[in-house]
Amino acid sequence: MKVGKLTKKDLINNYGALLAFITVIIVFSFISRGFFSGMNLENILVQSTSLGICAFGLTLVLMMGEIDLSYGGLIGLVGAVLAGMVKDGHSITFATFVCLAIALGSGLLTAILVVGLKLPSFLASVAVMFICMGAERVYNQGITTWIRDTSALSIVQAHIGPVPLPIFYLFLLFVVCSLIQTQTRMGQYIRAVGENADAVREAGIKVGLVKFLVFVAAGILFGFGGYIETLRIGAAVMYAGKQLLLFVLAACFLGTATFKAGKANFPGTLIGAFFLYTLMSGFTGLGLKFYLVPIAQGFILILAVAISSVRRGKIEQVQF
Amino acid sequence: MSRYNSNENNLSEISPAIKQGLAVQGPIKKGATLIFIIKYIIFFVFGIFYVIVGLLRPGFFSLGNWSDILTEASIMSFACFGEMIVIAAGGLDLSIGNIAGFAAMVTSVLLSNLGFGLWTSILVGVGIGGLLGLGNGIMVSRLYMNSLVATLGTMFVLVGCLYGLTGGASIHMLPDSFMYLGSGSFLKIPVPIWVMTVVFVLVYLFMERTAHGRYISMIGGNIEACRLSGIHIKNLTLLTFVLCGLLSTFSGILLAARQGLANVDLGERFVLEAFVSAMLGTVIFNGKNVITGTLCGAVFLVSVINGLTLLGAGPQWIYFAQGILLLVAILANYLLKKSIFLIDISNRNQ
Amino acid sequence: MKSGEILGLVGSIGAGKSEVARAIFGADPKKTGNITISGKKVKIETPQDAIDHGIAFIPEDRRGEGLVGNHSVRKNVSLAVLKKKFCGRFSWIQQNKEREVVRTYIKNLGIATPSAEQEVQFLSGGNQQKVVIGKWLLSDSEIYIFDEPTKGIDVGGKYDIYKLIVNLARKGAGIIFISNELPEVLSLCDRILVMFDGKIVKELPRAAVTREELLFYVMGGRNYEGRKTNKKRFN
Repeated sequence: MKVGKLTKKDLINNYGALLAFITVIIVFSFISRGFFSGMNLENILVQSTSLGICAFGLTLVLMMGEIDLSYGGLIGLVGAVLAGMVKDGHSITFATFVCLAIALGSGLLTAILVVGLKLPSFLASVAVMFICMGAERVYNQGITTWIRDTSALSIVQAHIGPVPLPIFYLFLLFVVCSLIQTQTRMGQYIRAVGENADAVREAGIKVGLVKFLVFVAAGILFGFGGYIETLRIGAAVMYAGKQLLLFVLAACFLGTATFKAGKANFPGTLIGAFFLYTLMSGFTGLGLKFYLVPIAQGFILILAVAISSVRRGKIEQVQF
Repeated sequence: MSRYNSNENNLSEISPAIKQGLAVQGPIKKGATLIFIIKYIIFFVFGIFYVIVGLLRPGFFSLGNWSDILTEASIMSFACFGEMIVIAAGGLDLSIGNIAGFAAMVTSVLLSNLGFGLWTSILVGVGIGGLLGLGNGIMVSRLYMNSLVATLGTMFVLVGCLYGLTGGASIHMLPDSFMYLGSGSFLKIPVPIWVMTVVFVLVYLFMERTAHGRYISMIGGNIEACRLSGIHIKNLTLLTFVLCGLLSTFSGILLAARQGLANVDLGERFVLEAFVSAMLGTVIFNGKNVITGTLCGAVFLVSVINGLTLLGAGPQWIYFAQGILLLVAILANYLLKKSIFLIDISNRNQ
Repeated sequence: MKSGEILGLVGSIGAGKSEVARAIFGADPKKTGNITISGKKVKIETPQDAIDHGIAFIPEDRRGEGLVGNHSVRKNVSLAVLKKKFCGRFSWIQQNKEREVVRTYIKNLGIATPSAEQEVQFLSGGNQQKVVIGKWLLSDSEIYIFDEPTKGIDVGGKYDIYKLIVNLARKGAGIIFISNELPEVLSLCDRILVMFDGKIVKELPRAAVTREELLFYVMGGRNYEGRKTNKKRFN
């Protein structure tokens, strides 16, 4: 591998998933009429919004070397509370605040469990997920609540010019997250903790505080994702988080294989989210059976990650 | 908290109370009570729960109810054992639910739609599970993928395959011989409990008394040290995933047999149960006897859900309970590690 | 390297001592170089290969690379030879035999532990090191590579380990002794190789070497004799 010259191997290893993504788009555009249309692409982007926002939250946590699965339950909980409150006649602003509080609470809980009680993040966040799911069930008694309030819906279902709002939210958050990560000290700390927490601690930085803040931030992002998703659909689907659970994970991991980093990163996650929905849209457009979608998504995920992990040479263990 | 400090540092980490206790009471008494409590704390916790439920609903303690509980726990136990083996080697298998479901689906399709024989169908189902486990193992041990991502990918693919196999429909015309496996009894004891006993013994012997089994647990302890001692970590890691895949199919197939039908959601419960049981397994019995502990964990989990249902709790409480139980399990795990440390210090100062 | 010889390998941090050792043991992939044992060129690519050829490796980081902390002394000591020595068919472990043999080794090595079932993470540094050494002694290897074996160990423990190494050499094993502590290298080794910047720069027989000369080469000096004459000129 020569420094300065991009060899073919470099290209595949570092940008493999991105290239695959572009290839897939091109292929779909050719073989599926209407795939490359503005409406279809817009559709994909809008669908990816809530996934992307949640995935950003997860990306933050992954950068730190931890994991947070609580969104599986939190999304549904936030959605249920939002829909329920709007139905009960509360103002959308108030409902939004309550949702924010709930998201904050969930993030705090996860943070306390992982940083305070030093529990493994995988299990602790799954426990929080179940608690959220239980809470959601308690709240909505298993009934799907629709949101009829147009002013509420307009938060998500309106357009600015020709562009739907969710896309704005998505890219806005992407820009914000990327800026925080690259331009602020906090962003550097987060990455550093993921690389070598002990070294960071020795340097005098409070690792616990960093982790705590990230979990809380992730919780808020998850909540926002659930918020957007509920408003986009117009209803609080029961256990909405469960569907997204795997997708968010997949988007983040696809992201690690997309750019050189090999680790969680925001642009990669964004591409990952788009990739997943592109596949779904393309397959549907081609009239392929719906069940082929997850199969393709699974293979792409494995392929993408395998390409970058093969060079590692060592078995990676999951720490409990 | 590092366990690798020298003697001097260790002493300063002990709380003043214990230090005093060491001086005044003598270390033996203090350590012994603490050990006893920690060892059986899970039993205490569950025991209290059982007492409460039993008081409110005496039917909880009936033979029929516990027969159901133990049967269901037995069916779950295979996936729990499988996951325990993977975790023992430091990995994670998220796909066990889907593997179980897919194997059950394949077996059912072969049995009812295609009219294959009972054992042929089961063999094919188990074989598929083994192949899927092999796939997971190759991804982790040869492609060096993180087991979380690898098994996640497998999940995706299997979800698609599950729907693709039957188009989402459930299979429910299953032959009696098959149903017997799930709901029949042999010598008054339900068949699944028999199967569980056999498998339990095999797994126990494998993990505790064979070199491979011991290597697997030690790989989980320190993979680099094992590698430098000449152990084939790649092949053994592969083996754990294959075993997990195989064992998961047992759970899936038996569950289908008991339910009398195979549907696409069959394996949904398995992942959580397996995790909680495996975690509890490392905690019950003070960290030793993880296999027995896992079995007990499975029983506890099923009995708690049973008890809650008897009390009339709705599904939301079930989710709550699972979350709380998971928390209890990992908290206990953490406390156990910390207390072993303290107890050992007091023992060493005798 | 000759049988019964203790070969010292010194150099400052980053000189490449551990890297060479690990390459010999097959722990890390090597790019160039050959390994010849008893006149035959051998191919060693994994630790298993090295062990099959009779090489043992006691790593520098005993907790991170030498021991499985949360398992017992017994399991750690028998780790390298479990299949070979203590297993019957289907790799069934003969526990009684294992316990017996391990108990002997614990006694002979003087490992201070309440029992053979004690988890090694609770032992002191010196005793932990003895467990690692015990593991490799069980393997009846012919070549032992010790990487900083006495680091972080108290004086009594150091002495025990020196005794062990000398005994091993007396029995005919070849020993590569990697260390940064020049005094112990000077007292133990028959021959000393100095490494600097990834290369072996000098070979010194123990008899003639002084501490200053050794330090000189470790620091990267080229010609000690030349330096002595220079110094004289200044005075």
